[in-house]
Amino acid sequence: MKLESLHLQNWQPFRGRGLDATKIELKSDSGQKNMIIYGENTHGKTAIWQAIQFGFFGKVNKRKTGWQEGKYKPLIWDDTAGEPLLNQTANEEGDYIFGVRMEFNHEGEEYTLERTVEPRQGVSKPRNDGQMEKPDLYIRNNSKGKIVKQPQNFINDILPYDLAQFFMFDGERLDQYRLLFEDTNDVKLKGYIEAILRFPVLTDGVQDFGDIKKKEEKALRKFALRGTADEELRGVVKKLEDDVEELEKVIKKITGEKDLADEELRIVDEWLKLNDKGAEALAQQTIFNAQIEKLELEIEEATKRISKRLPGTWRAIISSRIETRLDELDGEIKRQTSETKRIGEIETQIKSLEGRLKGDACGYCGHIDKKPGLKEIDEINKKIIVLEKESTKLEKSRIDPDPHYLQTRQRALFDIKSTNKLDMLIDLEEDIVNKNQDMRDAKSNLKKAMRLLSSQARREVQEYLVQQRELQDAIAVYNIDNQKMKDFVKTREMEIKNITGKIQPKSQTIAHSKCGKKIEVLSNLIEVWDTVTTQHRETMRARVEENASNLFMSLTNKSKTYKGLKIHTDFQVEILHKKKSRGAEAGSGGQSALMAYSILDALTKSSGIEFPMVVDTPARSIDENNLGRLFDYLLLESEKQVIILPESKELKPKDGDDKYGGRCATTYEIELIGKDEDMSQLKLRINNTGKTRKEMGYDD
Amino acid sequence: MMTEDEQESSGGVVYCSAQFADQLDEFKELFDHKQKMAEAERFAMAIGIAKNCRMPKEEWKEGKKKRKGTQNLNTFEDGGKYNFQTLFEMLELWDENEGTKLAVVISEYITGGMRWLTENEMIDGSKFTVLKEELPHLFTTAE
Repeated sequence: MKLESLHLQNWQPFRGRGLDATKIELKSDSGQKNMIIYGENTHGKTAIWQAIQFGFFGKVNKRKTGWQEGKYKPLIWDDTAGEPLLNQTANEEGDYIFGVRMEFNHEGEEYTLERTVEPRQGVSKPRNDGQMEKPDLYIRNNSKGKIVKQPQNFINDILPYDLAQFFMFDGERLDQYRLLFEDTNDVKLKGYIEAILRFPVLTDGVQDFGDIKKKEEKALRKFALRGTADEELRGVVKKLEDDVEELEKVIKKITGEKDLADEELRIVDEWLKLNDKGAEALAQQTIFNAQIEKLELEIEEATKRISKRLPGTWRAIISSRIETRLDELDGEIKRQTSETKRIGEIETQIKSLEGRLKGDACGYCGHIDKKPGLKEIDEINKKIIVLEKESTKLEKSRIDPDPHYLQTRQRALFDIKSTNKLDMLIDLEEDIVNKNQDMRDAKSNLKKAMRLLSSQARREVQEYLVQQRELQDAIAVYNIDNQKMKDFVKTREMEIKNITGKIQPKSQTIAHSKCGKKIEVLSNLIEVWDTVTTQHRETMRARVEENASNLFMSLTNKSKTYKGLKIHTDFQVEILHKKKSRGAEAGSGGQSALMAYSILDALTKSSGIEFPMVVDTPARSIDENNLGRLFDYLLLESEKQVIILPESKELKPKDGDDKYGGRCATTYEIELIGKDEDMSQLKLRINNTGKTRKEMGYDD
Repeated sequence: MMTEDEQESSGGVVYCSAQFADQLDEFKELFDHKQKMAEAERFAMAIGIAKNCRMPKEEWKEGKKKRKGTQNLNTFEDGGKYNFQTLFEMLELWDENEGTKLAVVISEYITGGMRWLTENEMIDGSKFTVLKEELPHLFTTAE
């Protein structure tokens, strides 16, 4: 398809319709098909890009939301803040009809497309979308002079809505495409890419053959059962088949619900990704709140532990003084004990001396000494007297103070004394001091995080997070349920197979034999089809990889650093580094944007789908060094029709005229009329008019 | 019911000067004990003994405030579990022959201890590190 003209009727900042509509021509005598529309920020470039989207698909995404997010601009609104599609001046002046008219060539035939919106019948002054008719689509095949029936299906056959995101994209959102390609978990992406590369025809083929085979197998079972007279067996198989049928219905229902949940989750994820600062602030709030809660508990716990430790501490505090007293008491008691012992020894000595006087045998060895002489007797008596004196003295001393009194005191002091140390108290107190500091920090951080989010935004992010969690849980349950159901089906099918496998009909009818043959053929076909699909997928992947890699290497200014792109079987993409050790990597922002361009280009090229590439602010994510190469490729080398809408800082109009003007059907520049953002107009630039710059009214 | 003076004269009760009534009230909350008041007073008494900061009754500035923690000496001794008479005698803090009642001496140590705890801002239990500085032997790793 090639776009040939675009007429904007009261469309966003472009006021006027009918003869006054803003007209953009892409048809030129030179045969060129590309177009550049220059425009500064807020002048209306995106409105033109969106006009093409609206013309083909009847809806326009809000600028800051993704293609799939399901958030669309309103048809009509009270002011421009709501980003309505109807021009605001037209709205205020009571001209409520708006829309887009396009002329295009598809497969050699000329078409005119009109998508118009007007107020509902009876509504003279519409205020909201409910008071407007749904966008009405009309397509006429001018070559055949026929109106196209079911026009939206016609467009969808050329390019389904989901796949249009690969042809029409916004440079400002290129980063999201990059993320899409780097995200291995994005199942949808794989689906889109497979769809763009037309795999579904093949994969659906395997599924279709499988379904036919299943039907034939059922028919075969009937034939087999007809051949047996066993009513009971028939009943069992019939019941199992009914079960399988019911279960498959349930599986279909669950799969449908899961798909819906998947889609909702994707939208929620996308929203959260776009509002990641809000989500991050909220996550931080949650973290800090949890921290504060945890710290409060820990401080309470430490305080409790101190409270449990404190009782009895008083004993430890006075123990050192008690210790001294106990030492003194111990000394006294030891003294008394030693004196008692000494008294005993003295008694023994006296006894021994008295025995000697009597001439008794030695108490230990039984030896009998000869009787002592007078002198010796005198000495012994003297010794006995000294010992008795000592004993008398010790008898007094060993009970002063009263040993019982000493023991009582000793016990009393022992009861109070404690050897406990108080280190734990300090440790706990230090712990509390540190935790109080942490608490102050957490509270201060919480305040900062709270300031980042208004209460309304917080609620919104919270709601989305809750929704995300709920959807994730629901999807997990759907997956489990689905697997269970599939297992049930498998078990029942095995049972059916077992039962029918044992039936040996006496003879087979022709239809019975044909059925068996069909199954055989289908099995072989499925196998072949599957192999072909696998081979085709690999061939296409390799082709996309080669095309994307070549383009990437021609666009990047780091061809000495990188050696190309690697596209994995799950379509995850990586930039390959020349140094083996570095392997694959994501690359810088600019390089990744080029990677995204390369993949998009290679995909669209390999898809076989003919559709213009429409790029808003094409160089927004690209490094300045790579800019020139990218424009060269898009406008000089690409075989596709390319419509780009750059800002002057991406491509200066004069430079663009000089370098690419000759390769464009037309180039335009958007100007603001007056100060209002809802009034823009297009000026055709010189290279397409044959007039001098001065004649065209340009100063440059 | 006996007045404070009557209780005092009976000689069997211990208490803390009304001067530190509020502090004692706050301090006792730090103790997880069935007799937290007695426990807090025992702690104050121990500090009074350890820091040798008995506060004689003549120095008490009570005004019209009520005393705190008045209790029977036997209760203070945890039902006779601890023998404070022996303790005070052995530590030579009290001499029966000097005429002052043991409970009064104990009360003076409690009050002295409370003054010390108040001066060292330990009433809310947030400055046990002071103990480490003042009574390092109570810790295994004194700074």
